[in-house]
Amino acid sequence: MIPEDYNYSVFVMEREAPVIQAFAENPIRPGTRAPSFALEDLDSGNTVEMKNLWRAGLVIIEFGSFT
Amino acid sequence: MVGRYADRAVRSVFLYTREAHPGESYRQHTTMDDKRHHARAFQEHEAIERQILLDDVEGTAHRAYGMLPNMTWIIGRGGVVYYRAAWTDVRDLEAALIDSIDGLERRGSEPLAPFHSERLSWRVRDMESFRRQLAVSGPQAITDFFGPQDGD
Repeated sequence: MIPEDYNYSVFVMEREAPVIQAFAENPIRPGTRAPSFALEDLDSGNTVEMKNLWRAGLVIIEFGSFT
Repeated sequence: MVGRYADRAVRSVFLYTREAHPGESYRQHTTMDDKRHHARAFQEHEAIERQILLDDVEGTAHRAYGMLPNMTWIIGRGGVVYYRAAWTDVRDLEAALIDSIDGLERRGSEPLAPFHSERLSWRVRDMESFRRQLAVSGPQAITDFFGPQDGD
């Protein structure tokens, strides 16, 4: 998926059903290992590797946005 | 909720993705500066105290994890996934968290083996509250979701 498709400017309901279906089929599921990606800490601007979030114990990761 | 489990080495973070419902006031990101600006507004508006982490503009992490607008995951040492949910519901999340903590604590003294399970969960869908939330983004966000409004 090219970034322009990801960063849509208009929400379209019909685009959601295949995304929901794809989530159900996503191979990252309980019992498997989660991938790690580099994220940016909002407050400090520092890079945070996801794997460092779960190094010490359980981490709850909520995905979302203001809108 | 997470504060109740801080002594069990549980932490919570918010991973900021693309705008789910862009509108005139909060248009879709084209740069990381856009994303930072929106995330700071979110942090202030919602009085977010937990750490906010930004995905890149391409949505690399968001796409890999399933790309739904408000998923929640519980992940433990070694990256083992304990829970994933298509939506964020505090009751469902806390039940899963308690179960995860219980299993980890019992594992030290009982011969436990993990297994995969799935279930259907429920969340309250308050459409009026959602409409007010969309209004923060702008009239376009309301129209895109609900269709043309009176006066459009």
